[in-house]
Amino acid sequence: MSYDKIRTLVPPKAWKHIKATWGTVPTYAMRLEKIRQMMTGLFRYERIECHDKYGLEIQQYTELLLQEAIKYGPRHKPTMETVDFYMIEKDLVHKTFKLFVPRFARFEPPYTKIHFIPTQNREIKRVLLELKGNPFPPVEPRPLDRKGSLVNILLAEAKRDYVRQKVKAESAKEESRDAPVEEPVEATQAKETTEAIKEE
Amino acid sequence: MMLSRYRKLELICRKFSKNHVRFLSQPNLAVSADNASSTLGHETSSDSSTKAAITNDTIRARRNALFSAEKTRQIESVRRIEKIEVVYRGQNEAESCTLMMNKHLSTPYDCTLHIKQMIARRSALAVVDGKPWDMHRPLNASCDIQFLHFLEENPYEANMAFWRTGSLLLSYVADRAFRDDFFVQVHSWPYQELQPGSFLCDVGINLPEWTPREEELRAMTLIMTRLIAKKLPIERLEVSADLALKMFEDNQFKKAQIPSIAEKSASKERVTLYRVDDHVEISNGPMIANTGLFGRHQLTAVHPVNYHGVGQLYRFQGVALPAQQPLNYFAWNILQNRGRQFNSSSLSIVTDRKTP
Repeated sequence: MSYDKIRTLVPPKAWKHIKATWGTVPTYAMRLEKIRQMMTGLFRYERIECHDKYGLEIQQYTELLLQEAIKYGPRHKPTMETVDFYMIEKDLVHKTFKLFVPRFARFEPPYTKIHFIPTQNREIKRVLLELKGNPFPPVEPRPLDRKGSLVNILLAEAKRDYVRQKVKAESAKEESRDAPVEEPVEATQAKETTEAIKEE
Repeated sequence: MMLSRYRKLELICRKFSKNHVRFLSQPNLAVSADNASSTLGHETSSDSSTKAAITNDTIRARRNALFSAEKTRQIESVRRIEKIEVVYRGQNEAESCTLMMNKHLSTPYDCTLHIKQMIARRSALAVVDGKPWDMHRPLNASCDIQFLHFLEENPYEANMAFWRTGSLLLSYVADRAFRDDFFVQVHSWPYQELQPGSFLCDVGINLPEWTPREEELRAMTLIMTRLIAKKLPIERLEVSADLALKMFEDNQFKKAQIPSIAEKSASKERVTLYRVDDHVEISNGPMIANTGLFGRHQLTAVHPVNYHGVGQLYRFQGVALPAQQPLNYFAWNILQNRGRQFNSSSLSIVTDRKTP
């Protein structure tokens, strides 16, 4: 599709927006070029900040690229070609196979993480896209162990009580079943205990 | 017309209670004893005639006045204001700071006012040189200080202080829930763990048999609710044993306890008192900063107990959670129902101590 034809299809207001985001010539090749640049940046620095529409899209491409690299390795020709295409700086091809592939073999997918970051203008959404296992300090704080909090202590104790009562009731039931019919004394005792448990 | 939350609660309670329960709109007449006395078949007027001069109100007022006088005396006894260095270590470097405070006058709460409003609002307990310290207790020397709240990783000290403060509030409720016909003497509360699921307070009341109805429990909870809504600070004061005896001369249990409590203290003659609103109580503490830190709360049950060797007492039990930890109503009902069971905490220990 030629540039002029696209021009006719797109309304002028939207055109302005598209131009602003994808550059002057919004062809598919240009978009791919942008994705290549962004991915090269991500593989170089391992954590990048960008607009959410780029970030969310690049995340998908990165996941697929890393999956294939881990699955087929550097000797698989199509994989090598793909990696070679997306990495504009060629030293990153080595980095992908020698550093990222062994690292992410330990991880379960997804290999990337995305964080929405606060901005002053609410309409603009920016994200932080990162590869897992990067050397930078973590974005999210360490999750606290809440076992010692008052609510959790009380609820844990309540649960323990509940289980204890249930076990007691079951054992009492079994005893009453096992008890022979000729001795009514034990049966009545078991009944009493079950009643007592119910009252509790 | 907008009704306040508590006013609404009161109206709802009144609707269901058929006028048996009286509320705080008539001061200090929260729980009616009509039910108890009618079931027993004895007249309460004979009791009231004998105790006409000394009521719970007058005793409370006298105790409160003595506490206030002693507090002003202690503050005025600091003639020369000396400065101390208080080092606050926050979560990061930027938060940490060093404060110049006044010796024997400034409290950890005053320190928080210099640091951050949020810390002032949420802190339940301070840690001074590694030891838990009340928020409203004056600092004696230069020290390191930290502040605890309930959402930390292991808030053991804050939880224990919270539970203890719950007992203090129960004693507050018991003291003013009854009509003047009934003479209330707070006995004490034992050392308690969180595991039994309720905090407690043993109270002596001249009611031979009484099982509170649901409405009465609700009315007593309402007294607690009102106190919590006021967000009053909990004050601490160390007094001599003589003054403590003078304060608690109407309470036969406390009169017996005070000498042994004073002996156990570091200086062998001091007793630690806590005051919330106008109610004074003996406890080693520490307590949390103010009553506003209480969230969900309920006075769950009152059980008769008879083990101190002083006759029959009533064990008030309650459950509460910090305001920082809101809880779903279903889970709260589980905790509340568990709190209704008789809490036998430290029963065996006390009886062992009494036997020799």
